[in-house]
Amino acid sequence: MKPRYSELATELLARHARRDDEDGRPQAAPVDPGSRALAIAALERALGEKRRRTQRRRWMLGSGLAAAVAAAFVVRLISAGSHAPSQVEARAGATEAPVAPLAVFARSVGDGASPVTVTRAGQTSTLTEGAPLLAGSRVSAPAVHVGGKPTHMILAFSTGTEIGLLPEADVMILKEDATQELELSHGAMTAQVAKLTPAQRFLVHTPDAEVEVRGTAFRVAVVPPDPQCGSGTLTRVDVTEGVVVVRRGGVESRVAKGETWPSGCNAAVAPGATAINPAIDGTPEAAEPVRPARSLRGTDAPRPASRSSNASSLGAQNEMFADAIAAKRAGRVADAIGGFDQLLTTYPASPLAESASVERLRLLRGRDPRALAAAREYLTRFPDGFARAEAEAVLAEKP
Amino acid sequence: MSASEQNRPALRLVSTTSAPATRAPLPPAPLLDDSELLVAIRAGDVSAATALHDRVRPQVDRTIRRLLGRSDPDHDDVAQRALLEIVSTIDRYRGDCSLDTWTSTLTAHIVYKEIRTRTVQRRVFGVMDEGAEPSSRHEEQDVVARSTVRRVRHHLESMDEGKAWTVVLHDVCGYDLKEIAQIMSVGVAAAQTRLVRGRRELHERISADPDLAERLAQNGGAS
Repeated sequence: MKPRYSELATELLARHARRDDEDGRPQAAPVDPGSRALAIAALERALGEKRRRTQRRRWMLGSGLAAAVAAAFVVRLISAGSHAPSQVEARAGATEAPVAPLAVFARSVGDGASPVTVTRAGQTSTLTEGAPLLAGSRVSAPAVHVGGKPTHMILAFSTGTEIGLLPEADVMILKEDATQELELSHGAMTAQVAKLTPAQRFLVHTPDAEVEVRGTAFRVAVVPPDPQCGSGTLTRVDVTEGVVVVRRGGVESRVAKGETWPSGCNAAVAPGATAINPAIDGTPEAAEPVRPARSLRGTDAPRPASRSSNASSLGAQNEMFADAIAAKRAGRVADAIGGFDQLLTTYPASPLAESASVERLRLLRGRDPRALAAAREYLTRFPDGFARAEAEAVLAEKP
Repeated sequence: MSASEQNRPALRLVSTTSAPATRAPLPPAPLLDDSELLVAIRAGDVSAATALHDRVRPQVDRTIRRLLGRSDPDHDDVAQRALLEIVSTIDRYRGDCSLDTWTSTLTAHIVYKEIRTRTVQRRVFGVMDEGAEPSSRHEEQDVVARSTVRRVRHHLESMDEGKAWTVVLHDVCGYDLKEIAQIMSVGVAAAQTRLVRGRRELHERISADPDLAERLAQNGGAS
């Protein structure tokens, strides 16, 4: 309820105002043409600025989303399997859970790679890059020596672990969750196992032994039995980094860096095979740059820099990526670009390589002529990558 | 520097090219309905500037004249600031009131901020401007009314500024509490408190002014 005099006073004022309206006084003065022109010019500037702000916001949102996805991915890598069972469970075909190798890299020491077959549930197909490998899949490397040299293939898993298949190697993926479990039934393979959390395990089964590793690099091979060596075991293990536990016949042996199992036996890897990791055997061929290919039939091409030999480099990759993102967020563009450069140079096959390439491209775009080269590089390396349209747009911006 | 100059807003949009008078006439605004216009503004479509201006400028001017008076020297400056405010805040417009209402509220907000910067010039609304010439149709009534309005204005100017503004905006200009909260950058509850207390204080002040109280009583009874 309005106090009486207040109500009377405001009614009087309102009548006064309405009377002006009726007389047309508030609208009486038309807008001066000069004032109109200035106001419209000001509005045009404001609308133009609004458009630029909107575009910037969208760009930042896109970058933020990409960073969030990358961060989520990094978190997943770090914490993968923390809730998974710790005991070895089923063997081949026991689970239908999909495994998720982030990419399949093929390396041809000779002129080109040969097809690698995947057999699962009785069906055989050619392994193509990016195809999900399900538990129960048997991957068979070809017995092909292109140009007189053996052909290698690398399976890169989401945890950062990389498995190298040597010619004629036959590996079945038994399990891929907190416990990564493989079965090597023939040939030889190398493994660079990313640092594992306490809940994670990595095991390789051979016909007569079980090899368990934790954050290490090693080779394991199935060879013809030699009665003079290791009681005729078919398995050979050569540890390059870290510690490996080999179990056979109820006996557990610890194999440290630089040691082989069984001790006193010859080289673990089958004759003619070349280790994938340059750091493992140091051969000139192995020291050649590795380039991830889009197709297992793809040709080899120079790589920006040699790959780190550190099997437990995932944490370092994560740190590099996180540092570069932090620099970007802090507005230190040059530092951010440098950080992504370092990651891409040091770990070109990193699971974070595509994200780093995209971030670098976005930072260079509109600022640096290197953006064109970065866009071309991205499209060459990730022709179906998530930022393909963006890279094409950068190339289209070319003056 | 005069007080008037001192109190002019710092922000002034000036022509950086030719003088407005020598400019070619601007083309007529394209015909856009409100929804099309809003889409264009949100997208930052520069070509919508003329349409936006011609659509909202009358409401902006009307609000400024009502609140600042008919001949305020800063009218055009305030109008430009109000127009720019519409562009910068259009993303907050959800269509829960008409575009005219939204425009009026934003303009009132700009006026409120403008008035608060004025320490010497008048601090109350143009609606109480008694200096204007009386209209021919209501000349006799205006002579009496202007004297009464002057007395009411005196009491409002003696009150706390926030309470006086709230009373005038609500009871004279017809803004609701939510709009007043937006205009004065306060919460709705604070606006309501100011309104209640402002009305009470105005009543008490007029009660203590028997001559004005009698005039208002007669005027109210006559109307």
